[in-house]
Amino acid sequence: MKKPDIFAGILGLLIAVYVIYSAYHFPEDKVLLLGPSFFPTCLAGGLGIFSLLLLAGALRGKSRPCTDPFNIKDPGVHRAIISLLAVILYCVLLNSLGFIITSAVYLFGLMYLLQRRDYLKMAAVSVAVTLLIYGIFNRLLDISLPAGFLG
Amino acid sequence: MELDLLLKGFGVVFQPSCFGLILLGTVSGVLIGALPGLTATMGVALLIPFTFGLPVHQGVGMLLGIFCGAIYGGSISAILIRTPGTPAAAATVLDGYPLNQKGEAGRALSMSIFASFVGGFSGALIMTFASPQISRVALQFSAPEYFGLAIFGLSIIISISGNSIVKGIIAGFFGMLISTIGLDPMAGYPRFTFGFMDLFEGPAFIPTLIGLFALSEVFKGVEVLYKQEAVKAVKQQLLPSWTDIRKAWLTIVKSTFIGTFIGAVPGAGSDISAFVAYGEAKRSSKHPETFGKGEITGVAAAEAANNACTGGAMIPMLSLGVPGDAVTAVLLGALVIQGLQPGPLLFKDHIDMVYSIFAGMMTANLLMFLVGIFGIRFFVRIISIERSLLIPIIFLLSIVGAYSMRNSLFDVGLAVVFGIIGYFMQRYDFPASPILLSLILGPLAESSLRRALIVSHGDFTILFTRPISLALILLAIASLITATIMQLKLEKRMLAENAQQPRSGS
Repeated sequence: MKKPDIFAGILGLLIAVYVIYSAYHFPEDKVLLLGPSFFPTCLAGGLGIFSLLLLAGALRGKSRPCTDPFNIKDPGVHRAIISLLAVILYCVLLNSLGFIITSAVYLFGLMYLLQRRDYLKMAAVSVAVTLLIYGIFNRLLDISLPAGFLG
Repeated sequence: MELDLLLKGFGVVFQPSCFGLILLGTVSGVLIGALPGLTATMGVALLIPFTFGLPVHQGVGMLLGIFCGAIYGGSISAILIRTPGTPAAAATVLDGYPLNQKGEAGRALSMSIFASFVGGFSGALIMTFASPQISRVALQFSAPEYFGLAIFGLSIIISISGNSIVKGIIAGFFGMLISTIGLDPMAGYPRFTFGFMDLFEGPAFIPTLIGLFALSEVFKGVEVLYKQEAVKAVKQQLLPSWTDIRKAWLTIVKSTFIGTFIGAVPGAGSDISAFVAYGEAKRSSKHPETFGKGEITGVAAAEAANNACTGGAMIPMLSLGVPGDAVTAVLLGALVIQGLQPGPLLFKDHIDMVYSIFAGMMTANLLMFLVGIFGIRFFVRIISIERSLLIPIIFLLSIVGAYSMRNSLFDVGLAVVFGIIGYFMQRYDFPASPILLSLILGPLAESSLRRALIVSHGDFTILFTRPISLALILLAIASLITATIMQLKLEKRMLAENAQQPRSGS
């Protein structure tokens, strides 16, 4: 698990540097003595130190072997990445298309990714589950989900 | 304990609407627990939105039912398909599954519900006695003591860091940094908000949780299509035999105390308590060699402890406002949404609510017992539900749950961001629980430290000169050292095991 540890270590260091840099520009607090920057700076220091430890361990080859290596050619990883990107698209479309349409389509896609191929049943289930949850929240709990152009 | 207050609490709980909701919560809890991939933390976080419109005691009662039910429910899949339904049931697999292989699944299941009930109910009783006392002491607490308490809770992160201390600590620091997003608690200066007004109060708690604990599981579930082991026919048994009870009762009592105690330690939860109680049962047994091969007392120890832990974990949550484990951290969030701030003042201002929580907790355990005994046939069937149906439902509940907190699409985006972070973290062995803990304890540590230093005019010795805060800080140091030693041992052992059996496929 060398590469991911190196990556995570560098990412941790970057976050730490960013936090310390921006906290440096927070106003000082003469009355309260410890200003808004004190705590984040301490935390970022800690994050930095442990990210360095992780990085050093990885570079010295001491990382533990990953139980489940991230292989970009693995179809499972493809599926996860697709579902991940699709969720981002889902969020973007949620407001304009509304909850029912976006959710039903996404659920159908999710079932397809999960290797179901009985299209009729999949369509029925995605529409039914979406409508059920929409109904419960809208009618029973009085929480109005985005209706989109249908509303 | 004020008996009349408790009776009044039961009066509230036994009103048909409240009782019905606790029952509904318990049934859903057992179901959530029994389904692999749905944990108690996730269950409570996902179902909080359903309690928004309810009166406080009904909503809280339902969540308590989910909590107690889910911890027990995990044992069903642990015994039947060798997959702990919740992390709390990981120790139950050790002897529960071998018993199933011997054809004694019914015996294991009946012992599991019996031990769960005894542990859970006693834990709730201990909570009822202990919380008011602790809250009385806590009324004297001021900033330095709260700082000590937060540090002590944070020190537990080491013990929940999974298989790498460094990664656990990184996750802890990362979580605390996230908790600094928003207006600074003392001076009101906006920190790391990137210009989003929605972040002024910090990232909303429930959407963050839903992202880390539920949405991440959706991505993971899409990636790994694992096949579930088929459930063998179960020879049903309602209650454990008299011989089994006689054999296990001492272990159950001991495990109940261990579980409640570990639950009450801020941060340490039911998974740890089950393993500790299991270890103790094995150590003190006359036949330790039978453990791991289908020893009924092993099941009893794990289940009594993890359910006792629920009551234990409620103690610091209610009386100090510091959650005992991950689920109570979510419950704390739910109470705050309902306008109740847990802590010593809750006992002063809303004592009737506190006692209806006590009564609700006991009732939930009682209902769990009945649901467990009579519903087992149904739960056995339900754990075979296809994951291709389950995962889409988790997804939809996550989205709706994140949205409904503030009717905000921003929060949906927030949940998705944390879902993606959670997925990659899980993939690379960074544990998520430390983040949850630091989200709650981080702000407490910061504001109490800064308040303490205002009182002392910047003199740090105030933290070490007051007896309780000194004791808590010393406890934190002790727990850091012992947990580090234990973790390093564990890591070494796992490394050795890895070297022994090179990669077995997946």
